[in-house]
Amino acid sequence: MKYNLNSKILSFFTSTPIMPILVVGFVAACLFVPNFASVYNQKILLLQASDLLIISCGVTFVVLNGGIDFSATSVLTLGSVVGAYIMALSPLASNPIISIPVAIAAILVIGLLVGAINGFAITVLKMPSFIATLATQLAVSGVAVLFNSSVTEKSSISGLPESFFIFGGSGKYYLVPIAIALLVWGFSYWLLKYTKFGRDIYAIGVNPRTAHISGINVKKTIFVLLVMSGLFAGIASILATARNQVGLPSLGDKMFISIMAAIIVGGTSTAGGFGGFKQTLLGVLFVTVITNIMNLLGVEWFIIMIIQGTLILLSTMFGTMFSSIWSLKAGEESK
Amino acid sequence: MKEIALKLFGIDKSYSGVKVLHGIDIEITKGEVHGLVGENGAGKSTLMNIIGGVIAKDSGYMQVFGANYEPNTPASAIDAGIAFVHQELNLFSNLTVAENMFIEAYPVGFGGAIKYKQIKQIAQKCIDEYELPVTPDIKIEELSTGVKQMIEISKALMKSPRIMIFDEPTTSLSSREKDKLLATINDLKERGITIIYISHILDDVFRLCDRISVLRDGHIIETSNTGEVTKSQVVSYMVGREMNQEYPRIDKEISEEILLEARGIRFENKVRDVSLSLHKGEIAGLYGLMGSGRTELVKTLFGVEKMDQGEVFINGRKLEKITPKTCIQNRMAFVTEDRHHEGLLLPKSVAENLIIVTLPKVTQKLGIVNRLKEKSIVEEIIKNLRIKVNNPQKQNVINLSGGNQQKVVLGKWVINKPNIFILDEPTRGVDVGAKYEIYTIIAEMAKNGAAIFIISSEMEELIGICDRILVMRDGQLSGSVAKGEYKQETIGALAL
Amino acid sequence: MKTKLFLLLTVLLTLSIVFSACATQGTPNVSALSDASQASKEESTKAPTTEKIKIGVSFDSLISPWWVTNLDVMKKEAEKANAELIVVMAEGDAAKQNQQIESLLAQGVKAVICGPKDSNAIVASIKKCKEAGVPIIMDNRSVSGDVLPDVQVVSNNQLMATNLLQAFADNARSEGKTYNTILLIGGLSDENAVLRKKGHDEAIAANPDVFNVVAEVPTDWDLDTCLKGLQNALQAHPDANLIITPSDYLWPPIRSSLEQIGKWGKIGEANHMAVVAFDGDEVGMQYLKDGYSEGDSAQDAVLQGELCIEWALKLISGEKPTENIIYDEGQTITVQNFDEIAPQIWSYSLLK
Repeated sequence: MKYNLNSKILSFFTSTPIMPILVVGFVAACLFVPNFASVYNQKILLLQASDLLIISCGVTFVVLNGGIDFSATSVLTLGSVVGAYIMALSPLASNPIISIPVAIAAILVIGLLVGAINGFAITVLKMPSFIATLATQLAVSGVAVLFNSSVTEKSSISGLPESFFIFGGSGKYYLVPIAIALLVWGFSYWLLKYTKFGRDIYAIGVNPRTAHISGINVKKTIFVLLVMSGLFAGIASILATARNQVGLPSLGDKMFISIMAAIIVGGTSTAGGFGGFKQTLLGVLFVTVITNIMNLLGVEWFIIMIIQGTLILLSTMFGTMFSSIWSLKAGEESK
Repeated sequence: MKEIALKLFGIDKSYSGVKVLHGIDIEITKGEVHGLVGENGAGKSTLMNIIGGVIAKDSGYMQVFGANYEPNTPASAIDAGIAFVHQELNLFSNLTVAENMFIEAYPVGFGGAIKYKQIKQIAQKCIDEYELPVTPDIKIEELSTGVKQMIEISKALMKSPRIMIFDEPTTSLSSREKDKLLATINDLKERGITIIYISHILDDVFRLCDRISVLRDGHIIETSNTGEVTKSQVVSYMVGREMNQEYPRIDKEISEEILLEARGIRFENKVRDVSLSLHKGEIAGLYGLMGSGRTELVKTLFGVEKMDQGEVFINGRKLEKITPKTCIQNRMAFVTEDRHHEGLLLPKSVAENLIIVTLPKVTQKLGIVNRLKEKSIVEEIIKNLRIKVNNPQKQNVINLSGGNQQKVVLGKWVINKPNIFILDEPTRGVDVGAKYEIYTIIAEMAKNGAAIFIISSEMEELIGICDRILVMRDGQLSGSVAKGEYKQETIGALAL
Repeated sequence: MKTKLFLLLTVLLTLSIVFSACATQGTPNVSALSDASQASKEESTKAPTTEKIKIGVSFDSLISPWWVTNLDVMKKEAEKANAELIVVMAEGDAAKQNQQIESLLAQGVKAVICGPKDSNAIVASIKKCKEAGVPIIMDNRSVSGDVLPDVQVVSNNQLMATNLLQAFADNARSEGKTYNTILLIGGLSDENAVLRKKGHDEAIAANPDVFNVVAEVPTDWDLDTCLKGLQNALQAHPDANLIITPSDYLWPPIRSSLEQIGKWGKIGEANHMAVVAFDGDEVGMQYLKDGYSEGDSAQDAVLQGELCIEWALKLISGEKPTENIIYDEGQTITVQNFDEIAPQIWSYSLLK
């Protein structure tokens, strides 16, 4: 019995090493960082975490499969300017009842399209995901800037309808983005844990050859995951645009490192096949809490980036160390 | 009394408790060309690696020209005057001929600058000596294999070896290049260099060697003078063994019904026009040496590789799209040769590995997996195959023994109840007890009406369980032997 | 063993948070604890127990010396009033600026002074400040639309541009000169650039006998873009003899392109090209003093900083402004009135 308890605790640690750090960090912050624990701060913390959670879920899918999606942030950008254009500058702008749903649909379609392009490049053209999504990232963010400058002289598109801002959690609607984020996260968690599709993702992430020979349609799975990542980035774009209340061609520029920090620090392996959404949720919370604390303490933005980078490094090291002890221990059991 | 160039006495070597070399005794006389032949897995590479200082022996001793020889590293072998020409050439394709020759020791001048002029001169001398159609500045990647090999030999010669060991040197050569190689080896012999020549091409061995030693299952079976032994005798030394493995006896019927038919399969130059059919209830074996194209053949049948030409018919109907998924849907199964890289998800649990092929069958609507059903299926197969594992959900496959791992691979296919079962080296690295269990499973499946196709390098195994044995050589089927006519020499001859 | 390493990391992380909290607060642990525990019991909108009033300052960056002076002045004024400034930099990221202002609100600032990166995107933050009941003041940038900050301290860019160019035109008329003009345009996402262009256009239209615009060069406030554009314009119009720039920030590419075609010379020399600038920082003023330029218009970094702090404190104590926009009228300095006006400009003490 004693051994069972120990191994349960140990497995908890190894699958989500970030959990105890997050809890301790949170408690410490409540005690020592002024204003951290206030209702206002907790509210903005959750709101800030919402967009990051949604887009990180999308990228987590791709990472679990053994790949990477650099282009998620560019979907954020392009979606923002196109959506804002529809709601503020296009002929539909005068009619928010039509323009808002159209804009939302357009943003999601952009996400799907970018994902499909990535999927095509990787499965048909056989480009490695690293290169394909990096190329898409550059191209799509360029298109976003181009689009913006062709519809307005300003650096952003303003004049979005009030009702759209619900998605950003304005005023009393602060629960809306949080609810959407939890919905997306919940769906992802369920998909991975309970469906065959989820199992396929893991299998391909560990060994695509074995998966292929065992009858899994590897190409189709990879394609679908990239489309999903694009779609999720689109959802995040809706929330972020609503929060900032403008179409912003610089949206999401520096976000990628926060996404990777959240995924890696949470405990998902970038090699593929291990990790999941429990990890991503904790990782997102952790990254948001750290940024929030740093903001409250007045730390410079580049120091925050250094800290995020260091965290990624440390957790990758810990992750490798832990998984090797765990498999050793399991080995001793069977012999 | 002739001088002994290399003497091995009582060399033993074991890997994970399995003994692969049993007390090897061998004496190579100075100036002779000594051939070493053996099947796949006989222990040739292990023995060579021990001589070459790549791995350590467990016991026994070695002497080079009378002096004790205990190499720690390959450098020790070079220092002792032993040079290797390996099967996989150790040349750097992006460097030039001259640079490759000197790669291990560039003559350097002032401040560490490489004396290129000197290198080129010496390289040119070698080139002239061997009449190589190259200049010192040509990059290796532009040369044919035969020429590359010559350069490898020149490189070896620069260290003035007294013993040279050639490991399967003619596998990638054209016949003209092969002649040239054999001439060169004779040349080296005349210079007084002792040569060990490892090959499975008996014609060459007989052409070249003064004496021949046969290695089988880690034993030196026989050493004879070339003139005093025939090829077929050598073949029987190579493959002949006592049939001490037990095989299950199961009554079954082989019907005329053809479950799988393959016509005119071509794949690169490894599979050259192969046709075969598998009948319901039969166990057909495929024998052949390494490189004969067996694995490539079955990979194309299952869609893992795309065949250049050819057709596959299942139950008389042509299979239009050949992919693993469509094959599985047509009740086929494939146990791959490389279980680590193609058969298992090593860091995942036993349960996950076992259920992977059958997952579609336990998936309900919305894509949800029925976990209870999954668990019971997994438990059942573990019981049936007697896989040794305590907690299949928690234990990872990587920690199981080789035999149990192979059972997991088998298990995942068996659960799906295939009609056509292809197995590539299914008992490799598996202990005797587990082997028997695997043979039983295979036989039971055949009894229930499946067609089985087994590739193996162990002739004894095929003889023990197959109803007929096909032999593949050089990408083609060289012949087929029926159950009543099993003779090791016949089969071996077909393969060589 | 590895578990212990883990716990060690956790402890280290906690300690680092504690230490940085102490470091930034500058107060010993004990009072930070009591502050924090009290703050966590209250909403952020209630009055904190420390004596100093906290004012948040959110800027884009300090890349221009104008902002540096502006911030320094605000720090001094704040100290005089026993207020504490919390300064954050967005470094070009408008979304980040919104996040930072949220953080400022979470820290319980009583007012926010803001130099926005994007006049549109900042509206979201203005709304948040209003919701939290915290007054927000725009510093040297204006915001238009339905939702306005409580006070906007801006240079009357348009008026300043017109005045300067008019003064130049008057002088030119008296000397009987006409000018083929290259007009540089700033980044049009910046309200200031838009207004200055309007002012320039107004003056040019009012003095058609002096000005003949041969080229307009958009620069997007980017030195490289300006350089290329200006070089092209000078090539295409070798007869151009006046460059109007909406900011002293663009002096480096102006000088570089003029030197390239051998037209970098002082007033009175044969190769002199007339330049009318804007901003009044030490670079522009120095060129004006040395005779390379004909005129400059100074935004008063000091005055604007003082006004911001002044109004921050007024708004905190509940006073309502009569006007939303408070103009800094600026100063027009030309070659002619240099000796008289220049000493009044904030950058004068930096001149050589």
